[in-house]
Amino acid sequence: MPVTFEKIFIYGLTFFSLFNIFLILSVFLEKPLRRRAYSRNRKGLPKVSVIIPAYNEEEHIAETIEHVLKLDYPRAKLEVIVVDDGSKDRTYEVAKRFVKKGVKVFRKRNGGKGGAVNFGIKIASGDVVATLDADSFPERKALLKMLPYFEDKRVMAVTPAMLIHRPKNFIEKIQYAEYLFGVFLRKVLAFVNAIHVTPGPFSLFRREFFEKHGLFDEKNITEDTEIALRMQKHHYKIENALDARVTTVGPSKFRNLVRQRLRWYTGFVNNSLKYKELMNIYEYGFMALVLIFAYVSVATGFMYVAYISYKNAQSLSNYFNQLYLLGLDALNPANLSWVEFREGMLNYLSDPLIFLGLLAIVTVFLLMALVKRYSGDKTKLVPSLTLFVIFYIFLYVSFWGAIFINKVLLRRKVKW
Amino acid sequence: MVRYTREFKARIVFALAFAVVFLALAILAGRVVSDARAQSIRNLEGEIRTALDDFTIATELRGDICASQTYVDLLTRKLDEEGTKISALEEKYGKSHPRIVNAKKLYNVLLLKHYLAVKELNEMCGANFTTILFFYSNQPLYKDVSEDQGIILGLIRKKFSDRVRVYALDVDLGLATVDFLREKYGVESVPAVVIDGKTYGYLTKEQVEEILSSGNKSEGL
Repeated sequence: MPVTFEKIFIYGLTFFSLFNIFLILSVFLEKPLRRRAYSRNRKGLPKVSVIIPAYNEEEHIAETIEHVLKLDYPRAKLEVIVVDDGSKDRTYEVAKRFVKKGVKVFRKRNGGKGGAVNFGIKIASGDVVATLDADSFPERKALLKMLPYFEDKRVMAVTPAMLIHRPKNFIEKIQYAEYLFGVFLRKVLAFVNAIHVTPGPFSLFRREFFEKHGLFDEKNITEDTEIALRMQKHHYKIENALDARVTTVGPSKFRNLVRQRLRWYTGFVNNSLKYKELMNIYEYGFMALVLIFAYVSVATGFMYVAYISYKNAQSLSNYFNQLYLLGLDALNPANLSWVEFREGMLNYLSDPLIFLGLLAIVTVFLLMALVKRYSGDKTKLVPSLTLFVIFYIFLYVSFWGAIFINKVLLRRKVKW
Repeated sequence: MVRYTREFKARIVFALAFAVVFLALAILAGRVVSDARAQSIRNLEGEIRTALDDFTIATELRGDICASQTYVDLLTRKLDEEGTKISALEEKYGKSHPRIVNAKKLYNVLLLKHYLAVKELNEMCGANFTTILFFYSNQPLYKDVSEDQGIILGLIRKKFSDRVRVYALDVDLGLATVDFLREKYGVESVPAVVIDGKTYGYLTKEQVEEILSSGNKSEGL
């Protein structure tokens, strides 16, 4: 077998991917998923303030507040604060309806999500502060499942298992699988204390952190990444409760999804550069590795797509050549030969890369089935996961491509 | 607090080691499959040689080739299968791999034996097979056009399997018989197609089909 540049290239990529997979598995297999028993002793529970920042969320805000009010938690220890960030629609009026149920509703001039959350934190009286995006819905036991992680004094934040709310179309289904994979990954990252984002849909924070190290960065486009990295910088811990399910509404249109990712990924780049000391492996270990690998993965993603496109273009041109040479006879099934088909398949399946790729897909399916079962979600897995396996890499690369165009070529600023 | 711990290093080593092992296993698995396929080609070769010898001896004993026609048909199928297997491996390992070159030499010799048998059937038993000799080369200059011609003749072989026999001969293998046939039919450049003894250059599908049907007509007259 001749060693070509193509071979070195593709085997190098595969090796890097394998290394990543086994790094993840080394954590996952060693520390099997364990439910943490939540506290039965209701007297010892801390006071929790749930802060719901809302901007133009009249459609979902009522359902979100209802979910919070239905949380299995002593009412006296649960403070609910809605901060309307100068919405142009009826968000404020809808939220106002819940005042009689003890919900505190405020309205401020529009100033971004970070500002709205900070506004709430300043008012909040709880020892634990929860942020909840106004289009996200925590399950009843979520709080009880997440709070026990605060027993460790170094834990400053606890993240939930975040899933897409009732995925229907293609874009939502792909996101569902992506989030499910994220649920798995976040748990693994929690084991080695390398979580780099505490997402808006129901992350819990120890109030003490805000007092010592300041509130959310109001100018940041992804304030949830900034605060997580700030915690990591100070060597605190961020935990994850795999069985605390929170569903969130994902963009249902491709345009909006791209816009969301443009914000997320640009925010990630900005913040990881802001805290670039975190990339020092000798001080931050896995945290550093995760940040570095995030960048390397983008590069490898591009390389994979380039390679796949090259290969597909090649076989497509072969196919067209056959059509050109043979005309309609190329399509006539009578001219297909079983031996040719069998030998072609053998060629294909005996390729180490195809073999490894299939193995990886099977592993992803099994892991995702496990995680889904564990999180207790009822959405159908197979359609989403199939779409994910086929299309995700292209989506991912196009997001980063959009960022590159936006940031480097057009030098546009990304707004919240 | 420094997080570059022994645990960290152990996990990196674990992941590296397993990545190496899995990649090696996958490559090994691919090798095992390829070896099995090369072996199956060798087995097929053995079968074909035995069958050819059997056929030749039986013909000599009987003094009549015509009674052996069904054996020739069987050989045709086996040779087709071997040809397909070899070209699949060519696609995978490249056309200059020594294992493939060796298999092809043998295959070409067997093809020519088959060719002689079919010619005899035509001459002595009134069989009506059209024989197509296809001379090709995998040298860079001729490779693409040779492959195109190969695709066309591959279709012809399948489409007219009842009356056409195609013999693809690689002119770079250094086989005396192939060189002799080249001289005999005046083949100067590749690809070249010799249909029932008449020499052509590159032929499109339509041209081959036209030649085949006109040949039939003349025989019908």
